[in-house]
Amino acid sequence: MTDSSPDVLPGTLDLLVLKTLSLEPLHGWGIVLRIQQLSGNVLQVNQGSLYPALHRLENRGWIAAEWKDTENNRKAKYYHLTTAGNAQLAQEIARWNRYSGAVRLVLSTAP
Amino acid sequence: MHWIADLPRRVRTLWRRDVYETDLHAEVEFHLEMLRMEFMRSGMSAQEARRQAFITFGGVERFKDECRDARGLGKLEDVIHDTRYALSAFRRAPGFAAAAVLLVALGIGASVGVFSAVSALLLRPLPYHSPDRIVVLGEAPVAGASTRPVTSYDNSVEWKARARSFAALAVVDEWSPTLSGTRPAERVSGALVTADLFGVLRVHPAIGRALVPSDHLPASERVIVLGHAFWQRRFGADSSIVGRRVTLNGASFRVVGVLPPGFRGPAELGGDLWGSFVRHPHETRDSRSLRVFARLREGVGVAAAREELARVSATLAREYPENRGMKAVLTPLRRELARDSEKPLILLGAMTSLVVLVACCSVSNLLLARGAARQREIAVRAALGATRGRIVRQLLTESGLLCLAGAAAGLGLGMVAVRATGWLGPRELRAAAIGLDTRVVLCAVSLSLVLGLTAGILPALAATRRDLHAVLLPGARGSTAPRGRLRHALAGAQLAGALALVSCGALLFKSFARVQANDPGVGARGVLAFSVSLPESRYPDTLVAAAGAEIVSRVRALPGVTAVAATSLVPFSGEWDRVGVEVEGWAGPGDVLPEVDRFVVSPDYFATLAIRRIRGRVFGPLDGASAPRVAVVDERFAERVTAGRLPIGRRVRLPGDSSWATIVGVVGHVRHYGRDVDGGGQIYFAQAQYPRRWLGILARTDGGPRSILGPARTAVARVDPELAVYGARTLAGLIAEQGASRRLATVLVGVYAAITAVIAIVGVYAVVSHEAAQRTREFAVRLALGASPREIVISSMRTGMVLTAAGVAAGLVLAHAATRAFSAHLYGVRANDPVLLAAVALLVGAAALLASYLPARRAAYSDPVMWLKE
Repeated sequence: MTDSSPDVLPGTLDLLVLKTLSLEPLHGWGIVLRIQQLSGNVLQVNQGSLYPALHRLENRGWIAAEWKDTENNRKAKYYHLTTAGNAQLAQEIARWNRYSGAVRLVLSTAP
Repeated sequence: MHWIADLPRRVRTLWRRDVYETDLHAEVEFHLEMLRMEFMRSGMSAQEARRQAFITFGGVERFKDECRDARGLGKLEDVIHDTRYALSAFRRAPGFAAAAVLLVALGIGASVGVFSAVSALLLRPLPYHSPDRIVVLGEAPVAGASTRPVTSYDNSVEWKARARSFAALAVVDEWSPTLSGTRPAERVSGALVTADLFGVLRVHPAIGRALVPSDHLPASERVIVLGHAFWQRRFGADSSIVGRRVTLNGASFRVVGVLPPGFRGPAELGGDLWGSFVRHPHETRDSRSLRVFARLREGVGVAAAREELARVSATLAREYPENRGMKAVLTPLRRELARDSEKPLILLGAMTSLVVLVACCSVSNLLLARGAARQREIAVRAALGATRGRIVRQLLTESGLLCLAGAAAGLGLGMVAVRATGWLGPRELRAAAIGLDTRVVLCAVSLSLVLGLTAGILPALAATRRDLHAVLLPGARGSTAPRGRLRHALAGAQLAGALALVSCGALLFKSFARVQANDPGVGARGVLAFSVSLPESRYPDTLVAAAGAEIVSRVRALPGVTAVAATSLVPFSGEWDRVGVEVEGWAGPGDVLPEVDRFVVSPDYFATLAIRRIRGRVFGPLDGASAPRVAVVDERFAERVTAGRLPIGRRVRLPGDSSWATIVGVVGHVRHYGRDVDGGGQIYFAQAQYPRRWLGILARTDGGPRSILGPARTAVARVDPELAVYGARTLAGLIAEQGASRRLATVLVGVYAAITAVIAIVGVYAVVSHEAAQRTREFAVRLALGASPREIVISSMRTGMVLTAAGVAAGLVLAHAATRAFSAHLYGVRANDPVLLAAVALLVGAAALLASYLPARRAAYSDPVMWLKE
């Protein structure tokens, strides 16, 4: 919960969610924690806005959800990647690599 | 495509909305719970953890909304949600909802009534091929206009030969012959036409053939074409009718064709049958009684055709002395048909816009007041994360729903208005079969939506603009200044609109009263008018006078009949017979003769109708066929034609007459064209000296005039069973019919004016009382500090006074423009009659001030202690 952590860049939340879910099914809270953990506490997901993103991805058929018990015996909505979501993830990763590579190229140009 | 393929699932989502909502709620709750536990682990109190969880998560309602949007169909769902919300809001404030619906219904009802009339008369397609290329031609005096331009056959032939603008040009002569035969005689409506008419209207017979040019040769056999409905009714749709002979006015005609179903002639062409027109050998270039219908050639516009016709007509006026002083006029058929109704409809349209405007303003004001009352509710929703756009949409849904409900009620009202138009209105309106059609309903619904948006947008924006803190703090009133100004402006606008309408109503009413006060010139009570035609085949010229006298005496013998007369022209019937009259020794050759209305009447005519005798004598039994010819003129004739000099003893004749008639008496003027028309002169000739085949019989009764119609038919049949009695009307009915258009306009504008005045006054009352309610606290303090109730009344009324003054001033400007626009409808009163406008302004102003005084007084005399304790 460090306040200095930057928010997730606009447009990259979908990519991060898809990647996280490709590892294992998770509920919303779990996704927030996992992104934080995987990014070494750098990336901070704006918690409220995670849910509209999840519902949008579900609506597109890239992820699906079911209600399951947590380890503490509470009901939670677990999301997992669908086949279509897998393909989408590959595309998103390729696009991100192209984009970040291009940005790095620009930045590394000597003055 | 993706969206469509996905539709079933989306609809299912929508269907299981409750499931979805529970899911969403549980999901968010789980997240918040996790956050809370996290914070509590870090040592916070339960309450503090809860607060931090909400802060970290962000606006719960907003994200839920975004989730619903992300599900797709979010918009549609919003609409459903908003609708539910709106309905429950209406249930909480039923008075408000009812008032708004009523206001909209009044506005829509008024527009629907007028629009359906406009639609029936002006917009509905004419049943002809490209009807906008059909024009009506005729002639009118160069100076001044004619209400119904007509021409002669000879001139129509010249037009056809010389003008290049017309693809086809046909002559039409009104014709209502009596059909006799094995069944009872019947008067039918039709026209004598040239063959080109079928080319002008582009209609082909369903059976047989149309008329052809050779049918018009004097030596040809006389033929007719039947209308479809008439063929079914009279001949039982007998398809062997073609080739058969029928008897019309005693002469034999051969049926050559039947027109297709649904075809009807434009108004005056009648619907039963069309006969071949044959030029009568006595007809001259100035026997102007025919109408000409023409179809414009492709690519020729109305303006171009009009220009060419004017050139041709000017040439003809040089070539033929009979055409001097006349010009040809061209009118598109559609305009011609709508001519009489157009002006009142435009007037009604303008009035209706004012009603709609006032209704819109007051709905808007009502919504503003409602928005003010719901400040807290709206602020709470905003605090929970609902965006401003979302709340505005919600409020617009409410106003839209109110307006839709209003539209439904308004359609009902409009239906009543349409019926009322039918009862009160002139005959063309009734004939046009006005009804509510799809277009009218669409118009009402779209109008209501526009109304809902325009009336709702300002209040919705105003309601969501306020600072949340100011509203939510206990006891806070919020800032009212900008909204207050808007409400004042709207109330002032209503007052202005109402003032303009009331002014129009007052002017129309004064005109109506003036017109009603005009003496029609006859005693119309108890007089029945009907017609009989004496066909040439059975009544040679020598027998006509005797047959007419026989019919008159038979009808007079009926019980209940006190007097009977015959006339060539039934007064107030809408028909006319205008002739140029030459006064001996007055007109030089080539002068334009003064036109007067001609009546050929039996001696008892003046007594039967109680027409005032001013000087000299009227006709008597001695004015027979062999006696010297005599004439009677009316007072207008004496003023206009003989320039105030006593006309008795002067001799007059009509063009073509060989002998002179001596004027023997002067009678009162009869307002033949309507009580609001100051007609020209009238001249009467004795029937015995100018026998007529067409008889208008006028019977004065001492009971109900209608009751003698049956006996009169029998009496006429006893003279000759082949004669038909037709066109029976009471004279009082004819006079009322002439005033119908003005009566309708007066009543409608009066109703409109009353409605808007009430709306506007209530609007002022609402504004002032709302403001007084908001300032109650302030007043209580001032009263407690020793202010007198009078000071409070004045302070509270200030708004009312300002907006009344502004509304009345704006209203006077608006009234000036509005009344000017329909000065043509006024009679005996100027459009900007200062006394009347001042009286209306005073009345409306006083009512508005009273409406602002009442709530002010209530505020001033309420108990201050009660308020201060709070």
